Formats: sequence, C-alpha cells, structure tokens
Amino acid sequence: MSNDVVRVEELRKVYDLGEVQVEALCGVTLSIRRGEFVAVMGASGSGKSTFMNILGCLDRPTSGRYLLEAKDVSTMARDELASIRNTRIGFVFQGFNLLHRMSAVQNVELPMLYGDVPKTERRKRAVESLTAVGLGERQGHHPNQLSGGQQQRVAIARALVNRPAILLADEPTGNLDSRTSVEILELFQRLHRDGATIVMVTHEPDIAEYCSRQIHFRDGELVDDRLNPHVRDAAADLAAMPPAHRRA
Amino acid sequence: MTLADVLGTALWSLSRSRTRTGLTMLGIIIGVAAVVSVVSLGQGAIANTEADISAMGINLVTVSPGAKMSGGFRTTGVTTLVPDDALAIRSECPAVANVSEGVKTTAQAIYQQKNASTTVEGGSDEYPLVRGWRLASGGFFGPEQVRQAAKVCVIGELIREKLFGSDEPIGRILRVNRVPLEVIGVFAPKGQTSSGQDQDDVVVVPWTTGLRRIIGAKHLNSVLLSARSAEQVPKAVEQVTSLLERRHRIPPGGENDFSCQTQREVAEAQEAATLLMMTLVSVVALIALFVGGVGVMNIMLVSVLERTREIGIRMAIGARSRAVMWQFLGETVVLTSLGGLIGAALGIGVAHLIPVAIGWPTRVTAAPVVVSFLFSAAVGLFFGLYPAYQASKMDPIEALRYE
Repeated sequence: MSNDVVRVEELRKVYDLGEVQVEALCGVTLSIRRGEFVAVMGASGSGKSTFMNILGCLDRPTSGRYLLEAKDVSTMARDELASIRNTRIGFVFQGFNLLHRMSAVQNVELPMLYGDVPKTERRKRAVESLTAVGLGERQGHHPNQLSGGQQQRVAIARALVNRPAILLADEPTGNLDSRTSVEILELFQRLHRDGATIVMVTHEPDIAEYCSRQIHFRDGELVDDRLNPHVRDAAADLAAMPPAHRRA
Repeated sequence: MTLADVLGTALWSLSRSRTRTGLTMLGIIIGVAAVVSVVSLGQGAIANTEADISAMGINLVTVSPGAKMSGGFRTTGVTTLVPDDALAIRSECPAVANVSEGVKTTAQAIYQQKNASTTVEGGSDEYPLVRGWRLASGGFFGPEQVRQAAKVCVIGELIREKLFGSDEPIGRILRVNRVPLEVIGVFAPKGQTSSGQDQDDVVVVPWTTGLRRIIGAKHLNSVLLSARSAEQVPKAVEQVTSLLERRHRIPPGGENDFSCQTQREVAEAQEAATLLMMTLVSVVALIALFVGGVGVMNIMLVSVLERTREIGIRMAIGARSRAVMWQFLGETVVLTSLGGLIGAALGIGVAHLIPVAIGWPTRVTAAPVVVSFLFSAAVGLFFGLYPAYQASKMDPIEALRYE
C-alpha cells in the first residue's frame, strides 16, 4: 500500500457541447502523497478547475482512474461521491461560501449534519475546529460580522471538521489583501506541518512559493511538476511585515 | 440527517424570512380557517335543529290532511281531517298522550290603534303540553272554554310587544277578524325555529273558536299529538295511521288521504339540507386551500432558485440529493402545517365570534380541525415535492458558480 492520498491515471474530461466537444483534461497522470502541500497553477482554461472538480469528487472523469486513498472513486454514484466529499474532502473556496444566515459555529457544524454526527458532538467538534483556526471566541458571529480573513478561517474550520484526507483550496487568498493572505497561508503551513495534505489552486507565483510542490496545467495537460526547494515561511514573512492596520 | 435535523433546519430557515413565510402561509391560513368556521357553522345549525326538536317536543307527531309528498310540500285545501278524527285518536290510541286539534290561519290582530299581521292557531287545552310551550304570565284555556268556543286567546311574546308594549296584556281585549278575544295568557319567548319561523309571532285560541268564529270552516288543518315517550313515537304513528285508515275507509294498498310526520323527520330533512350546504361550502374552501398550495409551490420554486448557491455549498460539503430534497420538502411541509395550525386557531376564533356578532349558532368539533390540519400538511407534501426535487437534482459545480 502506497502513501498516496491521490492517484490519478490518464484522467480525461470531455465536455460535449452538442456540435463541438471540448477536451478539458487530456490524460493527466499524477500522485499526491500524504502530507504534501501542492500548488496547482495555470491560466484560466488550462484545465486546473476541471482537475480540482474531479479531485473534489464534484465531477467525474470521462475516462481514466481516480484513486482517493486507494479507493476508486471515478465510477462512484452521486450519493457515494457526496459521502466521500463529506468525510474525506475539505473544500475552501475563493468566495468563502459560508451560509450567511448561519453563525460561524453553525456553518462549521454543517458537514457533520450530513455525516450523522450526534448533535452534542457536533457543537463540541465545531468549537474545537474554530479554536484551531483561532476563532474560538467568535463562534456566534455571523459571516457579515467577520472580516474576509476571519470568514476564510471559518471556511477552513468547516473544511477540517470531519478530518478529511485532503484539503482542496480554490484560490483561497483571491479575495483577501496581501497581509491577510499571508495569514491564511501561515495557517495552511501550520496545518501542513501537523500532517495535512493540501492542494491549492492559485495563479499567483508568489503564493505558490509557500507550497512544497508546484504543478502547472496548460491546455488540459500537466506540463510541469516540481518540488519547491525554497519554501517561503509565512510566519517569518508575517513577522517581517509592518503590523499595519489591525483588523478586527 | 434525522427528522429533528430536518425540522430544525426548516424552522430556522423559515424564521429567517418572516414576511415571505407569513404571506406564503396566508392562502393556507385562510383556507383552513374557512373550512373550520364553515363546518362549525353547519354543526351549530344541526345542533340548533336538535335543540328545536327537544324544545318542540321530541314526541310531537303532526297529522296532516292529504298525502305525504316529498320535501315537506303538501297540497292545501284538503278537507279530509275532521274534529271527530282527533276525538277518536284521543280515545283509541294508547301510545298517544296528548292531542290538540290544529287550526291555522293568518289574520290581523288589532288592539286599539295598533295592529299586527300574525298567525292565528287553534288548539285544544292540551296544546301547551303537546308543543312543550310554557306560559310567561296568565293561564291557558281549559276544556270548558274549548267546548264553548270561548272568546279567549293566549299570545306570543312578539305580539305582546307589538300590540301592548309596556301595558299589561292580561284581561285586555284584542280583535282578530272582528272577533273580540280576551287575552288570558302570554307564552314565554321561544325564538325562531331553525327554518326561520318566529314562534313568538302567534295568537292561540281554542280550536272551536278558530273554526267557528274566525275561519268559518269544519275541517282541521292538522292534528298535533304527542306520544307517551320518545320510544313510543313509532307506535303512536302506527296506531294513528291504522285508526285513520279505518275511519277514512282507505282500501288496503290505497293511498292515504292523511299523513303523519314526526318531529324527527322534519329535523332530519333540515339537517340533510344543512349538511349539503356545509359540504358544498367546505369543498369550495378546500379548493381555496389547494390554490393556496399552488402559491406555496410557486414561492418554493423561487426560493430554490434563489438559494442555488446555498444548495451548491451544502452539496459540496457532502449533502446527498436526498438530504437537499428533505430540506426543502421539510420547509414546505412545516410552512403549510404551521399555516394549518394558525388557520385552525383562526377558524375556531371566528366560530366563537359568529354567534356574538351575527347571532348564528356555531359548534366547534375536533374533526374539521384535525382534517384540515392534516390536509394542509398533505398540501405541503404534494406541492413541496416538485421544488424539492428541482433542488436535489442540481449540479453542485453549476450551483456553486451561481451568482
């Protein structure tokens, strides 16, 4: 048994638009091992979004295999995929995607609602998860009462609450200012050090520098895959940054 | 997701948009309130009819001349019932307790400058017993006065009020068709029958007086009698029928020239009419409830579209199609059930208000409340299915991209 969390082989995705067929992924093969922090890069239309959707079990490949923790999920039914998303995958989005009418702790409880976790256990774990991202005392706040960075932390707490095998982040710093971005990256690096496997889409090379491995997509193909010899330390960068305006 | 989770999520979600929730429920509320209050009105009318029979004597049997016809209509001007028939019933029918010859006409009753058009009824001295009427003041005429065709009368409360106002009526003389009649008693007020006839608008005279002095005829309009008990009513009818068949020489199998109607039959005809009316109005109200359900579906479809992104998020973090389906179905059912509950409360409130406001009797029973509540929940289930299905079939990727 390998140490691969993700193993994709000859992954292809074709969109049938009636008269034309668009090949979004044309045979991608790659492995992601436990504990890696991978940056997925590429221009829009490069296939990285399609790749992430398949990785996140939101979509199924047209052909090829996708093994998540050695389990073939490429042929699973809709409900099985939902169950995989619920327990094995944590999503972090650019737009945070919190439910605005719910408080922070309710948002974090949500995945457990669909995972049949008992009610008291839900609250306990949600609070733990919020505390882990540094928002323990803001659990009753609603998203509109939180700053962008704090909202993204809530989203990360929600992604982690079911202890997934992999954390998928789609431009998680895209809506954040540079200092807050580094704060979020610092959190990711901390989670990474604690053993989390993270795959993060970004189109900014300096954000990718905080990752241990960088892969590039172009025209649906994996064109570059290399380890980052000089991983930047977000904590050090933060310390070097001027305290600037303190954000609530 | 447990049922408690589904309900909790639904309540939470509905409470977040109260105005919309309230407006959406309105159709259901009005429908259920209409059903509950209409049925209460109908039940009240039926209960009133029942009260009427007991007030008029549940043992009362009316013998009328002419053959019985459907719907309570009967030919008039038939002269087959004569005073001797009543005498014979009195002596030969053991199940009969009291008998009153019945004479009836409409006439002007005049006292000094005042006059009133009223019903003049003739009866025997047993008339109050047969009808179960009580006197408020004075007395009733006795057998002697009946034999003499005495010029006396007992008046209803409405006539007393119209002709005498605050004056003492006992001992005064009023005239009916130029016949002077001494008022010897006043009936206690009885109010309207459920068919709308005012029982206080009446002048009762000895039947002999009525026939000879006022109308000038020899036949009776009816014979009123009471059975010895409610159980004896069928027996009394049987005895009277066979007696009159003999007296009138009706051949076996021939059509009778008289008919017996029990108070129970009158009431049943009336109740059947009330029930029909109630059913028709309830059907209209249920249709309104159904239309309310269509409104709910409409709003839920809008709601599903509006919350596309929420659905996408929920699916991304692991909600199965079924969980999304339950969420929206739960919301619709909770919405309509809540509407049903409020509507039922409103209907009960209206049912209690109607007697005070317009004087119609109502009676709240559990059945329409329970049925219309269950119906509204079923409406939610039915009309929630399609929007919930739409929500559950969404593609998470598309839904997440929805702005």
